[in-house]
Amino acid sequence: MPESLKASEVNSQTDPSVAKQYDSETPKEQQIKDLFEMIDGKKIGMLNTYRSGVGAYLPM
Amino acid sequence: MAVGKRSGLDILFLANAHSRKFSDISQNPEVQVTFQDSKTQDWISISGTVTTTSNTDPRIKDIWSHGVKAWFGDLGDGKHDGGPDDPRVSLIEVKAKYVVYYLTKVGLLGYVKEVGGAALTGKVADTGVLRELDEKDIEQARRME
Repeated sequence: MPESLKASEVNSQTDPSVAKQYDSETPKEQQIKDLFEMIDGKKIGMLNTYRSGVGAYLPM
Repeated sequence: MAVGKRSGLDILFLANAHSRKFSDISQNPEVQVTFQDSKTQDWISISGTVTTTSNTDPRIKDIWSHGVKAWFGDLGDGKHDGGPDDPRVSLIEVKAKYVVYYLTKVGLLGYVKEVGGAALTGKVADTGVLRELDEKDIEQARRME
């Protein structure tokens, strides 16, 4: 369910649209296992490099 | 690019040594690898440092598959054939340093309900979890393989 926004939470540390999204409840081991599964399921990744004078981009 | 191999959270890609990736990397080895799933809205961002190897790296033969040939072409000279011994076939190895990813926890209907409900009520949508892994966590991931 959408979470209510409280005035006391609207600062850079606790703003629920930012801070609450970081998962501090799931153990890191489970977070890593979930990530392994996600990467292995997606197969295709985009490698972004940095080109001097241009910035970050997706090279061919 | 197709992931050649995942080792912990480090990623190996096969790539053409003539591509501009290699000149970019030689000047700045810090890169980002992103994955995105348009169905689930999951995404992954892996930031790290790259090392590249020439065609002599024995790992190329381990991860090369026939599908790779389609992206290299065959010059017909018995050398530049897109095979594992083609001198153009090189390795890009991304050593992860920081990872952030989003894992969606709701299905399509749940997503619509969360986002639509939040937009209507002024609440904040809760569709999944944002997780970040630092170098200590990434080291743990390497030991889990």
